[in-house]
Amino acid sequence: MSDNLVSIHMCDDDPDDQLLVSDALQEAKLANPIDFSNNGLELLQYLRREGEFSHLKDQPLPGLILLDLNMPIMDGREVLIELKKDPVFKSIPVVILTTSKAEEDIAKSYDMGVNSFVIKPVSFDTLVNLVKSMASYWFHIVSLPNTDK
Amino acid sequence: MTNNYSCMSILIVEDDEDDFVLLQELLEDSLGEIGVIDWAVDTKSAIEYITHKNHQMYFIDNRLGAELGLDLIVRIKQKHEISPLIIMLSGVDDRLTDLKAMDNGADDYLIKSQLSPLLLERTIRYIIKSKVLEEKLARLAHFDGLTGLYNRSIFNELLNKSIEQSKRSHRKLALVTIDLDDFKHINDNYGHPAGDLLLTKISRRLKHKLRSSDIVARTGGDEFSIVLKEVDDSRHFLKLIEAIMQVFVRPIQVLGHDINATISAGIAIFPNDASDSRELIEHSDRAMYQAKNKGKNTYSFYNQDLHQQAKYRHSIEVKLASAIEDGSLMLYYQPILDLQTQKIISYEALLRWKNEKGVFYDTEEVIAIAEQGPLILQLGIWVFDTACEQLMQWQQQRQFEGRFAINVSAKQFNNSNFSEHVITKLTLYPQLINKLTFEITERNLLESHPKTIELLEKLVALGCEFSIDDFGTGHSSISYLRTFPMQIIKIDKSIVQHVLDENKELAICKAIIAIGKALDIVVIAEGIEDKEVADKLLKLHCPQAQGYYYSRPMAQDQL
Repeated sequence: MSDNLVSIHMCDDDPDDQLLVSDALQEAKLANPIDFSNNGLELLQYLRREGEFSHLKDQPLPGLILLDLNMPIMDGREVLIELKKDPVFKSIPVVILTTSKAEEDIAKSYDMGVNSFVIKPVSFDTLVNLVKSMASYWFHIVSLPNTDK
Repeated sequence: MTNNYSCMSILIVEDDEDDFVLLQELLEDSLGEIGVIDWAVDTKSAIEYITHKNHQMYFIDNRLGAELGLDLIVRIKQKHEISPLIIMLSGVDDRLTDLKAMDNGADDYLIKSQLSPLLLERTIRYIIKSKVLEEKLARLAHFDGLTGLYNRSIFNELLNKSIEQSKRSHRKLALVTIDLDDFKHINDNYGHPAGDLLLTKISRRLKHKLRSSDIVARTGGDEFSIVLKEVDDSRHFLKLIEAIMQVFVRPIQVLGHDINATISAGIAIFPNDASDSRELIEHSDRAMYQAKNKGKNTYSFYNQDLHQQAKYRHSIEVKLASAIEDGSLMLYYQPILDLQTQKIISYEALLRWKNEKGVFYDTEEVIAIAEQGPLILQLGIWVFDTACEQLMQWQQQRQFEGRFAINVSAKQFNNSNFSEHVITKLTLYPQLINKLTFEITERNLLESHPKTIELLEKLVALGCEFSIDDFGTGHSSISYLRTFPMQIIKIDKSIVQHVLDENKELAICKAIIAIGKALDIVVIAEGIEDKEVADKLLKLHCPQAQGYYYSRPMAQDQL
């Protein structure tokens, strides 16, 4: 079943945030595979299947990208411009992760053609709920209760 | 929004094939694509499914031949904290069965003849909604909303359970109490949301550092409690606690700030330090305050001996790591002679290390400490490289043409890096081929893994020899000879030193020499300190010997 699940890609330079999101996916009982890149340049290489990502050549592109704004080397705004220029990548939905409402407002003013903005939650439970609603919005997955002991 | 059931697995327990097919079709009509639908024809195969698989939804026909489906409900409920969906099916509308099904925990009771796709879809939708609520309530009761870790009340329960388990399995457990240092400071300086996020991120790091069997909970504002389970050796707790301390080395990004959080941790061990959970919590707390008093960013054991041991071990590790770098380690060399001709066959390279005051460390202790961590791999490479350089220098100066024996920890061979390092060296310096012997002590076991054996054989093919050190002191002497390609046995000095009297040691010594002869394995007697023992071994036809009687281990410039 999980073979044909849409995968999620997260581009974020903070390993703790990567950990949080992958744990939240698990907690939300979502089996969608997730992988990571640490900055905009890596994200482009990942999507183009270049360099260290060349072994992914035959893998389908992710169905959703979670993008952090502030990253070294190439930040979220810069990479978005590249993504939206690309005929293939521009159709992948992008959710921008921000750390505050103020940051979100500034980011919105750039009008980057982004699908949605999300403030990174402070609590794990909120993150789990957020991941659940993102999944049901983007992948139409019904959320079932967690029945394992 | 379309609901998608393609990830769901359903078990239908139904003895009538027509009814099964009908229900299957109805389900597909009402829910769309479904992940898996399994079918059990009787209670026996249903029990099999319930035990070994987790379905999210169960449809159970009440009448299964002579048996009743009602009993299955109880089994399903027992297995799950929050039960999956269970719907009872019946051919007839029977109020008594309906009530019983409800009592047993079924979510609904449906009459087969009244089933329709619409009814099914609606029933399932309503049940899922109430299940999700039930789960939310259970989460609220057991988990801390901020960090997603267990909360205090469930933690106490889990701790009690773990203690019971530990009593049954006779294995130890440790309660670690962790308190963030100066958390108030962080809240004051960066604001409460930053403090909260810090706790959330720390929680994830902790959870990932621990084994899945360990329990981690947030038991107070900035306090975490951890149960480390199933540990036999108290020293392993040290490793685990050091791993926990490692979590805090890297700064944590919080709302645009890099925060260097530190913790004070206290450890109490069951059953050593306490007889019940209350006492264990108290002692672990006390140890945590000890750590705070020592200046924070550290840990403390309730049992001070263990703490001293931890501190000593840690200091040796730190010093050894820098000694490997700065060249204060040395190799000494002790000759191994042919007993008959008294000619030097080989030299054993032995590690020596002086402290700042010029006093030698106890090499065995240092190696034992290094072997508990990854440091042994680094140390092993240093010993090997240094010995090889020395040998090649002697070869060049025509000072010595024989073999070098190098001590190697089994741990090094259980890790393929070392073997690869040796192979590379032999390829680069063919003058080392047929010149190296690896001495492996029996006390640390080589893994009798095909891959390990294959590596040893590869090295034998390159002219390396393997020698069992301290033969006769471990438990696996003979099995070692059978499993691994060994060319040399070194009889331990505890046996050799007693061969002058007619006793067990003499008999064992004779037997080992005979085994060597039979298997074409060279036998070396270790620890010869006087002429009498040397003469006796010559009489016993022991081929080679080593000991203070011939020469102490000496520095390269003394030889």
